[in-house]
Order: sequence, then structure tokens, then C-alpha cells
Amino acid sequence: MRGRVVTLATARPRVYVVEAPGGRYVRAETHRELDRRGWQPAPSPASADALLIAGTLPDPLRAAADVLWSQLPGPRARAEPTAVSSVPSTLDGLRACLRDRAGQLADRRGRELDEATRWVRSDSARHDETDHDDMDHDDMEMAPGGLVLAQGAPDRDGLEMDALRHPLGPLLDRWPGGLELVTTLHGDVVVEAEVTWWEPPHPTAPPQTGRADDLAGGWDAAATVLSLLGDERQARLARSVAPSSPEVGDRVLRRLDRLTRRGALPRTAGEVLHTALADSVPALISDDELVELVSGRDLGDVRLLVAAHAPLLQGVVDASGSLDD
Amino acid sequence: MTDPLADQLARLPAAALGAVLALGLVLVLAWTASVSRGVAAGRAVPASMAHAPAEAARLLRQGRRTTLSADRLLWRVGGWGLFPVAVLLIALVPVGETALLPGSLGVVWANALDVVVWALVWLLGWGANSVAGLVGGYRFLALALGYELPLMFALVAPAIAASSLDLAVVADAQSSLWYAVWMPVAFVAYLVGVLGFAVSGPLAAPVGSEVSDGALAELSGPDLLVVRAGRHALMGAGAAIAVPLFLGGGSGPWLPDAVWVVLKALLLTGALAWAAGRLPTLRTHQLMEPLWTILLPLVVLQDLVVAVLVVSGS
Repeated sequence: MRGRVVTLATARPRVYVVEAPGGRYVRAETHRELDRRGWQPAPSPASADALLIAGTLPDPLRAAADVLWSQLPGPRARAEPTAVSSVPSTLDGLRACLRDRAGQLADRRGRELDEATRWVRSDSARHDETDHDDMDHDDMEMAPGGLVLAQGAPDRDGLEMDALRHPLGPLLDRWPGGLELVTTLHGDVVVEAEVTWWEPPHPTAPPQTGRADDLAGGWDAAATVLSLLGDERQARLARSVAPSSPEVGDRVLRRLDRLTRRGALPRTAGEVLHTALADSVPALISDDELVELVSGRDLGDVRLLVAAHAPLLQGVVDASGSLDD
Repeated sequence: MTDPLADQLARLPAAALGAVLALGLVLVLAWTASVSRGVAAGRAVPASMAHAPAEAARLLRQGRRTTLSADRLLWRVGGWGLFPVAVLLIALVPVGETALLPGSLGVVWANALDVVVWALVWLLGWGANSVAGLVGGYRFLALALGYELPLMFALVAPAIAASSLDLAVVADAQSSLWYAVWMPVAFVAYLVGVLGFAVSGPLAAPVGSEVSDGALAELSGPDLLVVRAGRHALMGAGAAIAVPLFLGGGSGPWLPDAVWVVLKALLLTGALAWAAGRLPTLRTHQLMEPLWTILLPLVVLQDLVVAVLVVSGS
């Protein structure tokens, strides 16, 4: 009975898929393989069964990946496929790990040492212990959890708003690998942003898939945008678009245009996708242009805009080779 | 003194049975919504039917988690409160002879319960002490302002037509023509409201995928399961309330009244969930304008038309 419940519970694990710098192709293949199996990606680490980091992380990000790993409630599994060909076996391994009862029990016992568990458990005690050395901003007040409180800043309409520093990436799902966008938020509106790119530890070559890579990048971006809009059905279609099936591409393109017209998708995002998929390859986006693109947008729009422009971002192109090569 | 008490006690087993039936009905409606949602998302029917049990098993096996400085009490209240609200809504629906909670103010109670959802969803976003959660919570408050007024005025129309706030009386007043047919605007506004308090379809921005599921971002395990089930249950309960309000209650040929009520509720739930799965999630700031400048005036106009017809007809 117990075994049957476990089999049912792990029939389709939810995988939180993160793209490492230069890990575009492995990540795209992971999403396609998830589609083939009928598994769904997890929208946040909180409800995920497995963490999959596509590609190789540079050393400075390893500690961050451990914090992310500690956010998974467990039973949990973790993998870092580095090649497109190893994706199916990696997913099999994740499921086997989730079904391994002894292994999961051992993992749960070891969790007392987790990064985030330590934070949360000693929530109240931490206030007394924290030595404030790491906070050199005297004007920042401390909340009981040792968190930095948001500071005030004048809003666009002259009222004071809380200004909160909120980093997006570098380890985030449906997000370009290696991009760290540190935003300053007024409510849910991004007023300022800083861009940092994390380099891959070694240059990665695009796999020889035989398909037009520039277009594949466009369809991949379209799939990410559709998935961010909660439309997994059309996202699956966009991921399955191959040069041999132009009518599927037409369907997805019509859907994207309709979403743009109805305002479900920011106009800029809709236009760049349309250009990439229908006409020609749009111009690359420099870091300054990216900051300009996201400033003044709300958090949701920022995710959609970044996803739509992902194949054109300078850092992505540098890390995974030019789209036209 | 003892007689009424004895009377009450004698009715207790029937009430307990009614409560179990109501709970069962909510579960069936929630499952219907989940299946229909799965079909709309492109899954095969058997896979959609297996989805809810499999997800339930997965989330029951998953551990609970919390976040730094979470407002745990309010967070959990927000999550675990949604499903009971759906059960209470179902208890108001007259099935067959009577509702589990009959009364002359059924329409008002239904409205009061859907406003409770405001607090619950907002607390859900607030409690986790996370950016995504707060963004989701505030998005919901904005949307709630948008859908609630049209919903309230939509509830007024059937009440005027039947000259009663009792759901059973409203249902019986539609013997000749369903209210959904001659007050379509109110019906549509009501359904938009149902999507709103079930946080789905075009009004799903508070749990939007592009903000990591917003108000749900930090939930795991059983806490997430009850919220997901609660949202489906609220959609089913909203559809069930629409049966006495707009779809003629238990009226129908051949079958008994109670069967018709359940059947209509199931069909409406399925249709609503399918539409919710197919329609894109709209951005919050783009919904406020049509909800207030188009839908709200139209619904008020609908109320006026209904009132004039009722007065001139009688």
C-alpha cells in the first residue's frame, strides 16, 4: 500500500529547472524531455520535488545553489546535467532518488544543517546573536529575522514608498542563465536595476542539432513567455516547433499576437517575439538597454520582458555562442 | 422548554448526514473543476482524472516549510480557510426540499462568504513574508475591488426579480424562464466574480506564473494542497450558487429536483473551469478599467431593466 502511494506520488515529479551560465541548450532539452514524459516544471522551489541545474555552475554560485537546494521541502532530488544527451537519464535518476526511501530518510535527518533551516529555526534567537559586522549601513533597521528592512524613497508621484532591493536570478527558473538583475522595487514596480553576468566556467559549444539555431532560440523564448503566462499547452506547442511543422509555428505565433493585442503580454515583448519568429533576427540587447527595458515595469512584466529578449541578451550570446554561428 | 430541544436533537442525525453530503459534493465539484482544467490544458481525459489524486499523494508526502519571519498563524489561516468557505457556500444551496443552511437571507450570506475570500487570499500572500507572496496578495486586493462590485450588483438582479433574498424562493420564481436567459449581463458578471474569488482564468494574476505563483509561491506539501483544492472548490461552490440564482434551481424534466441541482452545478463547474483554463491571465492594471468602466455600468443598467420590468409587470 505504502509503495503504491509512493509510486503514485512520484509518477510525475515536479522539477525546478534552473539554467546555469551557458546552459541554454541543456535547459531547453530538459523542458522538451519533461514534455515528452508529461511532467510539469515546478513554479517555485517551495513545491518542487527536484532541483535540476542545467549546465555547469561557476564556483561562486555553488553556495547559492546550496541555499536554493535547502528551499526544497523534501523528499527531494538534485542533478546537474551538463550535456544534452544526458538529460533523459538524469530525469530517470531524479525519480529513482525520490523513490529511494532510505536515502530520503537520511536526507531529512541531515537537514538540520541546511542553510535556510538554520535561518528559520533560530529566527528569534538570531536577533541577539547577529553581530552587525556584515551590515555596514548604519541607517538600515533590523527586523527580528535579521533581515534588512526596506528603506524609504520618494515615488514617482512624490509620495514616499518603501524601496526594496530584490535580486532576480542568477538562479531562477525560466530565466537566462548567469543573469543577475538586482532590482529596486517600489511596491511591485522596478525603479532601478543593475545587471551582472556570471560567466560559465568553460565555454560551451552549441550542440549540432541540425536545426536553425536562431529560430530555435526564438521558439524557446516564446515557450518561456507562454509558460510564464501560465499557458502550458501553448508553451508545449512552441517547444515542439520544428522546421518541418510550419503550421504549428503559425498557431503559436497567432496566439502570441492575440495575447499582445489583448494586453496579456507587454507590447515590447510581443513585438520582439513576433520579429524573431516571423521576420528576421532582431538586434542584440546590451546591458544598458536591458536596464532601460525593465525600468518602470512591474515585477511580472519584467519576467516576461527578460524571457522574450533572452536569446538577444549580450551575456547569453557571449556564454553560449552567437545565434548565427 | 424540553420539546424544542428534543426536536433539535432529533434533527441532528439528518443535519450530520447533510453536512457529510455537502462535503462530498464540494469534493466532487472541486475534482470536476480540476479534471476540466486538465482537459483545457491539453491533457487527455484519463490523465486529467488521475491528476488530482496523484498531486494529492505527492503533496501529502511532501514536507511543510516555512520562511524567515513568516506570520505563520495568519498564513495558515488564509490557506486552510478557503475550503471551509466553499463548504459553507454549498450549504446555502437548496438541494431538493431544503438547503443544509436554509434561511431568508441566502443571497446576502453568499455575498458575505465571497468577501471572506478577500481576507483569506490576502493573508496567504502576506503571511509568507516574501516578495512574490506580497505582490500576489496586493494584486488580489486590486482585482477584488474590480470584480466585487459588479458581482454584488449581479446578485441584486435575481433578488429584485424574485422579491426575495431567500435562495429557495429565487429558484422557485424561475418556473417559466431562467434568470440566466433574461438577465444575461448579471449572469456573466456573476461568473466573472466566481473566477475572481476562485483566483483563476483571466483573474489569476494574484497567483500568476510570472511572479512564481504569487500568493502560492512559498507554500508546500499539505498547505499547498488545501489551497489548490480550495480554489477548485470555490469555483464549484460559485457554480452551485448560480443554480438557484440563475439556472432555475431544481426545475427540470424526469429527474428529481436534487439531481437537477447537482447536475447543473457539475456542468457549470466544468464549463467554467474549462474556460478558465483556456482564457489567458490578464495583467491586473488592464483588468481594472474594463471591470469598472464597462462591466459595472452594464450590470447597474441590468438591475434597472429588471426593476422596471418587475414593477411594470406586477
